[in-house]
Amino acid sequence: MSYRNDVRLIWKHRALLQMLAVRDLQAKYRKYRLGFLWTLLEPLGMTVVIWFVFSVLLGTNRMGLQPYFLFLCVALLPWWWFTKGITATTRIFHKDNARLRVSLLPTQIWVVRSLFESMFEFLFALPVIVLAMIITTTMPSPLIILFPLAIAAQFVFMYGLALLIAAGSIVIPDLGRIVRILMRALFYLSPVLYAISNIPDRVQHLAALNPIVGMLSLYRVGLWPEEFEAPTGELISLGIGAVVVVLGFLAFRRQEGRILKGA
Amino acid sequence: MAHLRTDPDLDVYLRFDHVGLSMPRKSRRKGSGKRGAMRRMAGDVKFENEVVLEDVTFSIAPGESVALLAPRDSGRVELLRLAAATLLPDVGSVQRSDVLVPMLDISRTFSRNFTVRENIYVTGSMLGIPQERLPALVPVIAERARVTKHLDRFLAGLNYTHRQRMAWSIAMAVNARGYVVDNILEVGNLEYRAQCFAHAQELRADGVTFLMVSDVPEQVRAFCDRALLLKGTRVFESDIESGLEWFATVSDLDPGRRDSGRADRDDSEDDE
Repeated sequence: MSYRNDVRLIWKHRALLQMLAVRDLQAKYRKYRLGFLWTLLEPLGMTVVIWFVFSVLLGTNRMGLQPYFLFLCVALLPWWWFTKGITATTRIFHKDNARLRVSLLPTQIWVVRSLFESMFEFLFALPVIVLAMIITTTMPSPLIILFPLAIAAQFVFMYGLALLIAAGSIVIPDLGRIVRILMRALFYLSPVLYAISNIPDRVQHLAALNPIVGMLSLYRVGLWPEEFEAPTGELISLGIGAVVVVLGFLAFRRQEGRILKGA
Repeated sequence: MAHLRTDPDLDVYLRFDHVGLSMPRKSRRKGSGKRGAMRRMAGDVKFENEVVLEDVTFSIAPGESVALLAPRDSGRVELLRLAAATLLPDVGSVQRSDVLVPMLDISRTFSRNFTVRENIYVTGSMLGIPQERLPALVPVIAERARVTKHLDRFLAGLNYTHRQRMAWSIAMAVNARGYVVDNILEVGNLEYRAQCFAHAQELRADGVTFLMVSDVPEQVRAFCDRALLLKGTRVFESDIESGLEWFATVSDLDPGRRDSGRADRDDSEDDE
């Protein structure tokens, strides 16, 4: 019942959310000579650096799937969206609180707004993946249609997690710091730089406990379908993601009064 | 809507039913800077809750105009926020038959990074103007706030009075059946204030409900039907005159002053 409300809420206020997201981005990129081009150049540059280190300097072909550059792009872009969006949510209700005093909009709208900003940056960066496909002359399989589903799944997962963190950081102000460390840990614990098949066999099943695994698999399955022939672990991982989302909804509803008091 | 619920079948416009509220202690905001940090490290700043309202019960009928008389920092703003549903009670319930627009320092929500048009758009949405009506309403609001020529400029270039007029015009454009007002029934210079007041009186004659905090006795006399007194953490009903008499003894305002210290700043900054 409650998730339907949230879908309706986003749809009802879509024009406002879109305007806020575009404005937030403009405010961020206005001061640069190259402006919005940086949403493309930054991920491209970062990916090239990581690719150079792991593929050329360390000279190993054993990590990830080939072509490695494309493999990196497909996971790094969603990862950056994830980490930017989630880190930002720890601050939503700690700054800019004057709004909460008068806003008759549902409180979640400010969470969505913050996620939209990082999502738009991700969407603007998508041509990098297309570019990587052209450079590496890789043709996607028909399963690439799961790519938009992956974006939707990531958004839902991030929304739930953001609600959880926003609620949590009201109770524990230090959560913002903790989340930053956890994000760094999660980066190395998730198959962003490497593939699941690179993990030693005896601990491979533990990866299913990480909701990021399922998310990244949805992005990758269109390009490396042979890797995901028995996706049990990936499905468990997505299921755990769904549990996090439900927890987020419940926690936020419980803490909403306290969030409003902070304004 | 997450927390704004209206109940059209309610027999009154607004009802507080045994409402209790505590807020995090305000002293914690002062704990910034080196000294604050040291005090925090020493565990000297307490984060305990302060009881603001206890067992508050009252109701307001449609079309009534009620003054809430209380000294500053007594929890009066919290009571208004509860009425508008931008704050949720710890115990008890607040019911309303229709929206109450919170006119509480709206100008503070404006963003310097947005143009005037965008600020009107965002704040209008926040106060409940439907999205399909907003594009047509923005020029009307700007006209009424006398900021039309600034419409596509960034807000940073506008002075305090402009912002006050914008806030006031946006709130009025919502066209709601109820308002909660914190001292901003009138804004701007004397002439503009008179217009604001006349407009509010028209709304009142039209049956719009008001719950307002005002530090100006004449305004309360001219505008309100009855008063609620917030003594300590409890609310008592009163008529206007005996309420104002009590208010004069607790209010920390200089009685010779017409307004809560804002008037001088407003008029000197006005450039039109």
